[in-house]
Amino acid sequence: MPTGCQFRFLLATAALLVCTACGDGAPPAVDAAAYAVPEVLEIQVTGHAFRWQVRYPGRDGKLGTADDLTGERDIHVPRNTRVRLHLRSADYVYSLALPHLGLKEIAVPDLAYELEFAGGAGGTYELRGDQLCGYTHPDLIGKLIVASAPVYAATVHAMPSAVN
Amino acid sequence: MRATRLATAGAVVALCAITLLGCGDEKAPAPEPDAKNGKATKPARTWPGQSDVRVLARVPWFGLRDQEKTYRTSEQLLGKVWIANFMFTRCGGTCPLQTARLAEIQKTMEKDIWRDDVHMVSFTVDPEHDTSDVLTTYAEENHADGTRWSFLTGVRRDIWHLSQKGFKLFAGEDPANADMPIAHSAHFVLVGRRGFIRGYFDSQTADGMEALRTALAAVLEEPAPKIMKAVDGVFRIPWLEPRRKAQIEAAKSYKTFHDFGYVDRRVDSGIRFRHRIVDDGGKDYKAIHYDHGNGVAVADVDGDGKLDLYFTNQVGSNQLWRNKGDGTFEDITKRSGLAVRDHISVTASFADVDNDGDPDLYVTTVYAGNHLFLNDGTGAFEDITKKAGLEHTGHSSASVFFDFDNDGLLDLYVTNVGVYTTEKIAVVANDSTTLFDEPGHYEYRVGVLDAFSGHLKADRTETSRLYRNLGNNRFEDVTKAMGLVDASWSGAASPIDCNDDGWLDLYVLDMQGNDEYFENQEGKGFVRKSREVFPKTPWGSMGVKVFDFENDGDFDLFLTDMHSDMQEVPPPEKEKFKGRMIWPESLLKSGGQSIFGNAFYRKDGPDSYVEISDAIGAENLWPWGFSVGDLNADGFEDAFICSSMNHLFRYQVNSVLLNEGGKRFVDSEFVLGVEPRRGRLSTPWFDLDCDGADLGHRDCGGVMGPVTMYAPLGSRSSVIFDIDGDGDLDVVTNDYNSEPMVLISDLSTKRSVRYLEIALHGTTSNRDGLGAIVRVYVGTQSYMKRHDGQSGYLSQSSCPLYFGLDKAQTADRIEVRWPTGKTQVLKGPIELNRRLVIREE
Repeated sequence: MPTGCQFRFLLATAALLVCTACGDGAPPAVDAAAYAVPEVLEIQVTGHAFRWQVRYPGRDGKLGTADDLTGERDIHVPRNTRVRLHLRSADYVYSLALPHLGLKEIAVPDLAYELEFAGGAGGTYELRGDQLCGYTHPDLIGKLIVASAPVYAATVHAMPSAVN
Repeated sequence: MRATRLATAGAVVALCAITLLGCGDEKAPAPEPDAKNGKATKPARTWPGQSDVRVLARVPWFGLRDQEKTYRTSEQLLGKVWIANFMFTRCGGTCPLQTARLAEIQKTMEKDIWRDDVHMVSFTVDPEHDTSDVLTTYAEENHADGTRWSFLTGVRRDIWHLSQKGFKLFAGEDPANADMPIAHSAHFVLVGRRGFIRGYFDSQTADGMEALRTALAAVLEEPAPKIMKAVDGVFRIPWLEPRRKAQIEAAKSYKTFHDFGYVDRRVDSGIRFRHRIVDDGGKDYKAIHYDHGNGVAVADVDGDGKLDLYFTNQVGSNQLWRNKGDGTFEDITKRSGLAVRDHISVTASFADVDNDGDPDLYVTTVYAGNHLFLNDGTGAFEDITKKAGLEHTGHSSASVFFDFDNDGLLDLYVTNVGVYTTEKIAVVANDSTTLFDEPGHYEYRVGVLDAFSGHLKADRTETSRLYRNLGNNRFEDVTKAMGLVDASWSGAASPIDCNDDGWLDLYVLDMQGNDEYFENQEGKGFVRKSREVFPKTPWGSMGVKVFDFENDGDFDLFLTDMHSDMQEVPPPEKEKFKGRMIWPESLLKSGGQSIFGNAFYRKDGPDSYVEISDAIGAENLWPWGFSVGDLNADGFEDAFICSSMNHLFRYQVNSVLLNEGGKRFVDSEFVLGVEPRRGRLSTPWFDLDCDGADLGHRDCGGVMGPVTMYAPLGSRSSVIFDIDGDGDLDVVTNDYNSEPMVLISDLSTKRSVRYLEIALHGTTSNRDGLGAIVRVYVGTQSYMKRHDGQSGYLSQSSCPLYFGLDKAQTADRIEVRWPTGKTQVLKGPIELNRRLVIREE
């Protein structure tokens, strides 16, 4: 009998498999040039109900505008780009770690924390989230996916619009 | 033989009906709580798949001993349908027929598909006679199948209370019947799978039995709640037995006396207290300071020379249990006036604030106002909070009585944690797991979701308070005036004299950051000297005690650290190591000045401490508070550390650290029989209705239907004292969301215990003599203690100092240095194994 965590993990795994299948093949046609990647890409990562909600800038390259887009769990960034994660929380205290970079920071309601790093070469890396206080939530464990700018743009562009 | 017995019984029943002999009271069961004059007074309880058999009162929690001497609790019957009756083996009245009829049911059920779902529970109302051995014989004579039929015994008062208050069936003295002066009911009580009474049935009539059979069949069809747990390590704990064996093997080389043990005698103690939690520690679990639980303290409240027990509680009353001196206790909460029923209490501190020779009491609560109760000397208390000027509402925790200005009046330091609750009020859930004796409507402030980051937010700070005792039961807040304003998230503090100037300094624990140390400026104020004296401190400090570990004449400082241990769940083999802190500095905010685990500061001189916790084995996992006492009476202080996390975490043992001659602590909880706990290691924590009201609850996962969620047991605080007057030290815990443990030592039967209990009577100094240093000299050895009342996290007790004196025959000299600075000497030879009261001269 799965516990709550285990069950959510199964769901998440299933969702991941489905998404992987969708993502096979060529990325959707997107005018990458029209999709501005700023010098420092600002992304907001919010812990909410033991999940990460990730908010990306839209075509204007600016975070916090009407064309922002949102994803969950994984964080997508373009290669060789400086990235600044704005960590927020809507409920509990979380921590977010990128072990391959040796980085770790917390997300706390009403407080602002940042985590800055270089996107570096392409690849998929571990993104470890945790709700502090020992209770592990598998949904907080995702990936940092570093891809070429067009693939990044295509992936993010396919995401739903952020609801302000 | 059986036919004869039945026939005889039948005849006696007939006689009973006429003469009202005490064999069966035949009083009608209490009216159903959900029906009055044919109208429902509250909605009937309904569950999916429920039969039309009525749902009556909930059976209160009980924990008793069965015919095989096994500890049995009511929650172990959840999920089963059971038939209860009250009987005793010497009863010649209704009892034989009751037992015969239960045997009949047992036989009938043998081939029934539901046979494993039915249990029979016979409570003896004559427990002094009906010991487990007697009940074993009785069970055998009546062909009772021990796997399906429990005969439970305990303390008479306890079982009669259960019969009267829980099952609403009379049990009492029947003086008219000289042969068998116990009156009790002859009704069978049917209890459903969720622990609710479903009907009363006359065991003595055919109609009654027929009605029972019909109801039983219907109730058996009802679905049992699924039993679930949040994590592994709740029901099956694979590392427990290997660890027990390894510790017992390791103990062969221990150089400290460990050939003794503890047995949990709660059943025999008569203590019915059961700690209950707010839902923020269960169904609506949050990582929040509610889960720090509660304290337990002792004091002789009525002046009879015996130490009484006061348990604090979150839901329901705090309880005061009077020590009767024979290992049993009686509940005197009501007449004491100390229930504090409608507040979430946290801690209790006994001290004589008016120097009149009896212990008064200060109780802290979670944002509902703290209370000072004045004792009239008989154990009756009056709430004088307002009059005393001590009205304070905060998220308070431990309170410490000490005389910081040496004026002979006990001052008070109250720690506040910080704002960890919201304005939102919730009502504690009432379900099958809350089987307490005080059902009712209990409100609490819902906790914040991010309490673990509270120290990062200035607006959540609640400074702790220092109150100066002005005399005449008046106090003044002198926090600012004395320079003690401190924003620590503090749950505890301890007096300590780091610079040996005779003025008590204050060590303030921070459970989310660096601890603080305040040096007393000869009673005129305090100066913060935290990092100068203690460069690094535990990040998540929880428990504290100042004592002389090595008997070298210096008071060392031991601190436990819970919150550093929250970062991850280490495997059992890593529990004795410090945590590898994985949280960033942005959360820790301690500037690299933290130790991530317990700390032990050995004192080498004034303001000179060396941290040696790893070298002496002082580390453990998930510690709360601890008590210090010489458990093996060898002259060296040992430690009992309450440790565990309960819901959402695996089981964790309490740690008992025996002091090996002042050289190191050796792990001894398994050696001494403190672990594994008696009876069971987990308990129902809360119920969920996963396709009803709790649809979507995080702990339902993919499960539908009714669920009972289990969590591991765990202690929070403890107090060490000699309960039964046999000269050795016993331990009482306050466990989180369950009953306490009353751990009775058998040391006095295993070695010749040599000890002195020293009680102080201050005259110029405060009446309790708090702050005094007592040294007992035996030959070239001396044993030193400071009387500070600190015993266990969250508590201050008023009890004599216990000096274990190993093999000494007499003491050569006793020196008392009173808070006034004056030293008083008692010359020897001083006879041992007694309580000595030293009056200040």
